[in-house]
Amino acid sequence: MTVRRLCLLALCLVALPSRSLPQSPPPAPAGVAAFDTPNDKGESVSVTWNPVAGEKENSVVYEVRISDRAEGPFTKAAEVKAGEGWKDEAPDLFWYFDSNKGVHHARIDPSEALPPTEKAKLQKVNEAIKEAGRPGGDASLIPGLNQEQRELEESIGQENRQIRGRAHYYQIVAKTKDGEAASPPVAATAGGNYFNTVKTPHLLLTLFLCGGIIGFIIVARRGKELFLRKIPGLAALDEAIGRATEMGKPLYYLTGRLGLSDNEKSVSTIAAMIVLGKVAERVATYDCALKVPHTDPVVAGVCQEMTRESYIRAGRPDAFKEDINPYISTDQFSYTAAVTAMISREKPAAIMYFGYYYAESLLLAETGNSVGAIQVGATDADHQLPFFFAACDYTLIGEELYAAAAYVSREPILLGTLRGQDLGKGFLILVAIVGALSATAVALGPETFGPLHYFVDFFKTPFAG
Amino acid sequence: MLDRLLKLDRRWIFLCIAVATALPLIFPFSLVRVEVTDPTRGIFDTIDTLPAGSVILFSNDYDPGSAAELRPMTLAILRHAFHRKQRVVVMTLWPGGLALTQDILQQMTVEFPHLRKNEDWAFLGYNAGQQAAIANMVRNLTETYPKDRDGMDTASLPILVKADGRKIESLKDFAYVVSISAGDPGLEQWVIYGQGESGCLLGGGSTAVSITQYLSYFQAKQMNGLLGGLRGGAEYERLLKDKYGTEVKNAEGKGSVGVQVLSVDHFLIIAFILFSNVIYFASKLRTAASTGAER
Amino acid sequence: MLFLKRQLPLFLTFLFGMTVMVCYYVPNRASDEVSGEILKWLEVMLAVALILGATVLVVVHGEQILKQKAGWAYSLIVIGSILAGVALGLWENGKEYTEEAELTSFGWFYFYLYIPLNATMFALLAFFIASAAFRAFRARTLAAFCLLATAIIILFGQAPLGAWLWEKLYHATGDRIPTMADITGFMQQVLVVAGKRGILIGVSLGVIATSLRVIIGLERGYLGGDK
Repeated sequence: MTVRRLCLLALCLVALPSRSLPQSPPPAPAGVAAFDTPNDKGESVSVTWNPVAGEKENSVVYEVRISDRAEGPFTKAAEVKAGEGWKDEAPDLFWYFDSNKGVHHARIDPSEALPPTEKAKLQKVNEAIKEAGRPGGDASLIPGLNQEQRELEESIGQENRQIRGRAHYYQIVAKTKDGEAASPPVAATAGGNYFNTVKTPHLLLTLFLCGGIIGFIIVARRGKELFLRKIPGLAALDEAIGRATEMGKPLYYLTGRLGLSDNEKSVSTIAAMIVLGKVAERVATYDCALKVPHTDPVVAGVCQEMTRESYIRAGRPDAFKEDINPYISTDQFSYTAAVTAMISREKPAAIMYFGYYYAESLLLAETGNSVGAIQVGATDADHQLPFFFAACDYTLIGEELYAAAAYVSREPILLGTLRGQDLGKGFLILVAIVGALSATAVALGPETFGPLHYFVDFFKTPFAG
Repeated sequence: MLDRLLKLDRRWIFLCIAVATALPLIFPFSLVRVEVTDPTRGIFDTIDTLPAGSVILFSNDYDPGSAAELRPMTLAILRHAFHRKQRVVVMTLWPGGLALTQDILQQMTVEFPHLRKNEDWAFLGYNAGQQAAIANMVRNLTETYPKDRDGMDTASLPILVKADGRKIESLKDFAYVVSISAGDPGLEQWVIYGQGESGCLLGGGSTAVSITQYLSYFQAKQMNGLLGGLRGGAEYERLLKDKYGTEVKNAEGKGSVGVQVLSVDHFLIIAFILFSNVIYFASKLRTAASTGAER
Repeated sequence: MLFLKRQLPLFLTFLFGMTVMVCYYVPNRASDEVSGEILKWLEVMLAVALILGATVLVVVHGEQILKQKAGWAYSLIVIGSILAGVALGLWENGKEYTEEAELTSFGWFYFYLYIPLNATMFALLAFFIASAAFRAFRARTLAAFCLLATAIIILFGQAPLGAWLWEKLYHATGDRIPTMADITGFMQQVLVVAGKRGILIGVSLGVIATSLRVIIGLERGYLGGDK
């Protein structure tokens, strides 16, 4: 009996602390580190810490606090709930490395540490703007917004930058309904970086591609013969020019709807202009009429010079006419209406659509088709390819536009470039195949094929933002 | 006869299309309801769950040419946002879209008379910077648009102060960015220079012909919603009507009517294609038969 | 002269091309400010291009009128329209509506001339697509048949009426066939997107290669002439 009582007592003693555990505050978070967030422009500091034991069961909430002094007072800068805010959720900053797993992370803008009085002032400015904001010109005339508030409002941006550049102290406070525990403060300063490490795969790929292209240009310049497969649309070029000459009708050449610097697709205009130079040379040789209606005044001017030089190179400067490159209009449908009208009137024997096109592609190509012209469409505007397929005799798909210049001219620089592109494409195909197989293998057997995820992550990380 | 049919004067086709398009517009009918697709639901759900007072940036990147296709979705999204008491900052990257956008906003102020200019909505106007304007907005909004359409300092617009008192300084500060675009500059540039650089939440709409171009961005989660052409507008209108009924004025707009025209036209084109193939094969058979007879 | 026409543009192209590239990899305030400044210049230059376009248009058509070349009357209409648009825009301070929400003369110009003209041109696409489809979608080869079949399925599935008819068929077959949403979704989101990505990769490589040639000065054609 005594033994049983003793056992019961012992059990109670053991059980008591465990029952009272939830009522005690959580332990202070360990492994707290604060450091300048890598790969950002110096806007933030990253704070990481290990989760406290049983954070989910005890519904722990972490508060990230900040102060400009080690002794405080600390201000709340962010809140992270149990099971949320993991370091591996920010691969755009830290990659997908294993060491990032199971560590909490919060990204803090130190300008959060604005002194409370300044914050209150800012709040007042914003309220004043909100009340006073009405249309009517100069904001300085807005009633309720005095000079001091305006200056403060303008200086906030400047001040934020200064604040970000100073050292601050951070602590993590773990909170439950039973209390809280704070970690010792750690100091960190936000600053810019010299290289965004996450973009390493980008840089390597760029160097590889550019190196390959330059390498092959050098090889081609040394006189090595580089094979180029036949492109039917370009093989038909001579046929088109010959037909135009025979029929005594003009050849139309369009350089697309973009200027030289409209957007990232403007490079296709440059490609179209390069081909124009070669086409103009042949046209001049055959003594056929050429017309290049333009939608961009700069392109029109440059093409005028290019065609002039082409005629000179062909030994036919006398055949060059000033109205070969008319500028029509920048407006999409004004241009389209004018060119379709020109096509209907002059009934060209051949029309070439090189460059980037939008909705006008079908309007132009159908009109060209209706007058019986031989048509070659060459565009990297994939959304317009179906229309060229339907209305043109030959269509050059995407990159063939870039290959066209090399094909027509056989210049070493262009041929070398093309071979460099092929090298890049081969590499990308390889990466896609190996990447797809690796990702599948990792998904099917994480135990066996686990390390393969490094390969996938390497190429995935730069696009994680 | 077969040869003549094979080379049918295209003006007959034009006439059929004109009749098939005009009739459903003159005598509107509601044949079937349009099924809602996931990309459409993406935008609807986002706007439906954003808290009241959230500030949305809406870029109306098209001109009158595409208005018939894109205006229904523009109106549907704006109606939804204003009904949900969200605030909308509107802009355009197309010069031809300036007056068009002004007209749309005018219509919104009639439909939602409680809206206060510069507080519930603001129009920043046109920016000629194309993709550079978007890239600049990622850095600083007021430097890109120092003045709004009325010449007022953008920095002083009350709409650019969030509910928590913080100022909207760049693209990432908007709760949602929507671009309805008919080409470039448009959705693609918003993805590359806007979402890619700022990480902002982006949705958008485009003409039906370009929709496959943007689907890859939707799949890659660079956009959380995508509306395609007239059908996209009709889908959004259906969602709006199903959820809010008559609470939202004109919830069933021109998209729902237009999509019926689309049905008729699509079937007519299918008929043309089949007809053309029947004649083509008939003429081939005849040629083969006559060649055989000659042998 | 050669310096201004060749060497300076090539130097500037190299300088700005490399600067933007370096800024892309360097995340700090200085690089951010430099790339921001370049972007601002680009914005300004793009805006100047609009003015340049209008100026060139006036010069080209002005010359047509002065020399009374063929079709000079059309040039007169062009110049008249430009001047009318600019004058009305200035007169009405660029506003389409008055404070009382009434159309201004500029608004009238825009809504009753520009919009119908622009929309008419775009609307022509519907007619041209139909005639192109009639002519092009003939099953001459296996590839042409695939194109034709895809076009019909997408046209059928994208029309609400087609989707509705398919749904009836779907239920009639005891849900044993795929839904129209599945079929068109697979075509658009798998087949088409996969093909487009392939084209996009090729195009991007072409863009990179051409840009590289431009930046390092191997490509000079865009400056007018090859040499």
